[in-house]
Amino acid sequence: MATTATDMRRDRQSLLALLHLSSPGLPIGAFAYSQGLEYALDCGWCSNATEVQSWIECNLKTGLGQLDMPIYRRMYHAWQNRSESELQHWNQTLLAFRESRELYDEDVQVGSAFAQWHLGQDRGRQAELSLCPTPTVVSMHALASILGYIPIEQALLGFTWSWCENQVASASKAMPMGQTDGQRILQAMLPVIEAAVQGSAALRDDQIGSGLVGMAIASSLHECQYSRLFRS
Amino acid sequence: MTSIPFLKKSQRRWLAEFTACFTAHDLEGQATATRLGATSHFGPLRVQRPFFPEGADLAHIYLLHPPGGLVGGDHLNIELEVQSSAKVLVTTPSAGKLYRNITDMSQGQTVSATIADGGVLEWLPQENILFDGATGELCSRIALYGTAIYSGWEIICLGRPEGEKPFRSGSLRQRLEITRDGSPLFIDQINFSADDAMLANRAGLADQRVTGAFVVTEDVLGNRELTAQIHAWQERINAGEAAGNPRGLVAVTQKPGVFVARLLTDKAEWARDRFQELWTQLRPAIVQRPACVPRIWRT
Repeated sequence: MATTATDMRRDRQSLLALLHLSSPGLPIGAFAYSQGLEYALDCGWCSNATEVQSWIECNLKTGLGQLDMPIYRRMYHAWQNRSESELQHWNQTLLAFRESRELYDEDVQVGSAFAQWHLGQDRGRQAELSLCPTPTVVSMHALASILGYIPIEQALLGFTWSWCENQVASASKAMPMGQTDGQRILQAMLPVIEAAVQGSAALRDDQIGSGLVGMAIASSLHECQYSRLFRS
Repeated sequence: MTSIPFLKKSQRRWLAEFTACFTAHDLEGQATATRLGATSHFGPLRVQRPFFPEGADLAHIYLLHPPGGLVGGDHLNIELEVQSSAKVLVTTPSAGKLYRNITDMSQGQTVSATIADGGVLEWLPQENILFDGATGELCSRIALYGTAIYSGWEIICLGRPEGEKPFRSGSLRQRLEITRDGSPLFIDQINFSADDAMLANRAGLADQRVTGAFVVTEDVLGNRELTAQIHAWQERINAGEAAGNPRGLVAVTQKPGVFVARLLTDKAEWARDRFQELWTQLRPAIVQRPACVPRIWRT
């Protein structure tokens, strides 16, 4: 089937929307959180770039891949159908899964800044926002993807890429880790991101859940860490 | 949303089932009495008559599974209904065992509890041991209504005690799902097979064979004095770890309406002791009375 000029224009627009959404400059404050990584660095669980990479890889595969990504897919679908009950169910489910006070607060605070960003783009989005009270980051990212005509697989690649970039930036600030190491980790994560996004499509509702005990412990103990660069 | 079918019907064969209902009755004055109402069971799963070591309003229940272990295809199904204002502490006399599974059917346990307004369930079982080759499915579903309280722990142990028989093959899926008035409140699910890299990763089980979570559906760390005490306890234990005395790690956190303590260690006994210490400190804030250790723990 021939690609029409309209399709190509739509592709260009959705790519630009994805780049906009994936920019570390997106003013939602995600850079202020390390998701347990700062504690892992502080207590010596991760003491070099290889250990940082292995921490990020495990969180990506098991944390994002088995929790955020499958719920992202369900919320994307729920926004498509404007199903208020499904949106609220999955949003509440994701908050129920958040392993610690810190991870819960991060999701609520960054999610709320994301909702403000939506309103800054277009006041008319209040209609969508009112369908999903206490929005999570996943819910707001999925909404932006729907409104920007970004296909689901690409939306998830962008969401996960932003998360990875933020984790590497955290390690660079807290360890500190050099730029070359950081870039090497990002390069190594590309096939992992791709596989995790694909794998998340097959998960049933009763397979969702991260079970990352070490990350949950790190995030809980970060709440009491004596000196912190990142928010708790 | 629809409830989640944890096990496929075709794979399920109840080895034993136990259902019980706990009711509260007004006594003279302002006291209430909790009673064990209707029960039903089949297979080797039952309770002794309730004990009341701390007064008529809170029943201690020992859940007995005399064979003590599950092979492939075996499932235990436990359903508890705690009615309005009834208070129940449930424990088990010995560790649950999931043996090597040589069938293609799953093996495991499902606990479903419904707790009505004003009701309390303390769920304090011994650990579950996952033998090498086991494919365990452990699911707890707790439905709270109104001001109901759940305070419970689950400890899972990979392989035989003290590493005699490490967990080299098999899998585990363990899920805890708590709702309040139908809405998700807390969910925790761990999902792995024995060759999963997550088991050795610091973000996962960090090469430890015992992990557990103690969950209380209250703002127990809303109280500043208790928070300071619990944080000091946590720091003391983890300082032993940092000082090269590697016994285990504990971490507490307070989400809105849900307190969670997690631990990672190599010894089930250490995990039980730490959770019991925590329970002793928290119980006055949860059920307004000191810890009363079930007699069976001392034997």
